[in-house]
Amino acid sequence: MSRSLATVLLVLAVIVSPALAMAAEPVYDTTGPEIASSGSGLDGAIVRFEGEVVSEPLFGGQGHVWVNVLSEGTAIGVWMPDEMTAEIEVFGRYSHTGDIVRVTGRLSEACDEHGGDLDVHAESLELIERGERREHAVEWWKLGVGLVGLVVAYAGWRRMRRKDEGAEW
Amino acid sequence: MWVGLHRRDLVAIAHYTGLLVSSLALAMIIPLVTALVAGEWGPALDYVCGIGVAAAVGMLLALQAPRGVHIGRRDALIVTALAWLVASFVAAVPLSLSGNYGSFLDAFFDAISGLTTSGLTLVQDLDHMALAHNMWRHLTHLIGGQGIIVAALSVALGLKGGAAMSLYIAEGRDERILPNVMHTARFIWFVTAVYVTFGTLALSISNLLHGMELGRSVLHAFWATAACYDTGGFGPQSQNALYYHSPFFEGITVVLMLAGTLNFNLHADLWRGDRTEIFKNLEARALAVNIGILSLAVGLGLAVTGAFSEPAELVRKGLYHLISANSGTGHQTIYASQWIGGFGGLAFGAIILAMAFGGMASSTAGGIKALRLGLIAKGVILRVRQAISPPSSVVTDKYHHLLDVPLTADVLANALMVFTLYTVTYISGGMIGAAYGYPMGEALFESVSATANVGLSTGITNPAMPAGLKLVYIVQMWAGRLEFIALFALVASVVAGVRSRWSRA
Repeated sequence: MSRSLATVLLVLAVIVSPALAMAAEPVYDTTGPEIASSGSGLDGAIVRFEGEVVSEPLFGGQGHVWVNVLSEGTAIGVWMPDEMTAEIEVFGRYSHTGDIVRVTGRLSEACDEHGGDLDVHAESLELIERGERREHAVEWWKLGVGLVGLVVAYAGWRRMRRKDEGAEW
Repeated sequence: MWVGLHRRDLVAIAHYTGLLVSSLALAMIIPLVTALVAGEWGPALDYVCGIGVAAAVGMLLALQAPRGVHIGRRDALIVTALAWLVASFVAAVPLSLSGNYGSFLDAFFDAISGLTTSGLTLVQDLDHMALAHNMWRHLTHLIGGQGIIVAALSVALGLKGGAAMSLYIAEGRDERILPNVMHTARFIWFVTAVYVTFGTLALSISNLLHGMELGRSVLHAFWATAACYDTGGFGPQSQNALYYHSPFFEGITVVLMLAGTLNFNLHADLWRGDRTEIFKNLEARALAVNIGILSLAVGLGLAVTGAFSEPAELVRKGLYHLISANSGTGHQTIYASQWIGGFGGLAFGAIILAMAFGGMASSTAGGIKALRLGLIAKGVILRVRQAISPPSSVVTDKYHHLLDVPLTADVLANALMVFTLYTVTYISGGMIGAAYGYPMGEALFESVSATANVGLSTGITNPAMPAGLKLVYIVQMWAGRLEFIALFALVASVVAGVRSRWSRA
């Protein structure tokens, strides 16, 4: 009985200890520009930042994907397990503003796993705000300017041809 | 003797500048079609507007003289210098309407950066930019990389005979791959088409395997190919090449960058199956030595800073950025601040030198060029040999660049003059940047990047930088692409014209 209890306790310790270690580690709230500044002093630390997911998820190998998170104008590559992207529906691009998410993960200024890239290995992702379609006004005056320009160009071309034929130069 | 421009010179200059600018109206049809296919109605109107402005400006200028009007060597230089400016002005019109630029100056900066294949950018919110505008930004690399004159010649836009030849030479081209200049221009586009097809195909596969949709895969592949083969440096994402997190992507783009920095004459030899020329050509050898020595310096520098702990990382980051710098491309897989924080010291200095030296002449690369460096090195050796030889002996030398050519004082003087002009411009731009309050090292890096049409950036180039510095970099990109002489011809003609008016008054 005591041996079984000891085994269970040992197994629990093995499973829980990394999580406890993570919980014990401080989490630094930061932003994209600070992460990319390479002077943040956060290399190897657990960071938390918010931003918009942009473009698309890219395969990252080992059941992971790359998601790029645009935080205060600087996009950061976040490597996360496939299942973590389940919350993400809208990726930002011309037609849409992407979902706003809060990422917590370990920052590597030169990640050994990814050829020295600066990245964040996500440990959790939280949806803050769902993305939406972006409205772009169609400004018809541009069509007017373009057509006037084409008419001027056509008139100029006709005049040049007439002059060439008549050698009036 | 300084001779001012007469009316007949001015109308001929206006005529040919107009024809060149008109060709941009045709090129803008491609982003217009992209916008229509993608359902980007706002950007589609930006290109209708751009086409109208380019066609009207081009035709009004062309109307000043009859087709086929004679143009002399000096006027051809002026047309070349002006065409890059006026073309950048009209290329900036749709960009400035995109909403991704803070001002027309910023859009003009990107247009001239694109056409000169520099790659420095003042774009804002790039990750939300319309596909049509990204198409146009990357097309400017493709047009400018081959040369505006070559682009216009290829579509036979009224440029024929002696005028075509004068303009072709004035653009800094010296290759005579085929007897007819028009056929040479088409051969240049043929080589480009082969590489663009290969690059687009390979990168499309890479992108698809990385999970991109088919349409975006092909578009991103085409843009990256245009940016790398034309040694431009623009990217459709704000992270530039880092966005892809892919060694495969980096490998293919390195091949494209190296192909882009190869002299078109060497491309022609390779195409004909002659592989011996590339091994005995002075310029190819000089470039190989240059890349070899600077790779070692970058490797040593990175090892000292310890920014990349694994040897594979050091090679991947170091070599990618060295080739990017040496070829004048400017793609980067690090953030701007990492140039100081990560590269620092020796590696940083080696990257500046790689940008300053540049690729091969008659390619899409910028900078001093490997041929001139090779000539200067040979000149130094010749001088030493002359110094230690008996006074009665005559010591001469020759070099191999397509043919065996005697190493004369004229050849050396020309190489040294261009070397000096680039060096003075690099340093002057750095000092101006420093005067604006930026650290000298970073200011020099940015200045060299602009003048050598590279596009790597430590972060100085951004929409919030002072307008004065934006103008300085615009002039540097323009002067560097023209290799100074066409620009000087324009300035000298304007000065001579003003002086003659004053003396008459």
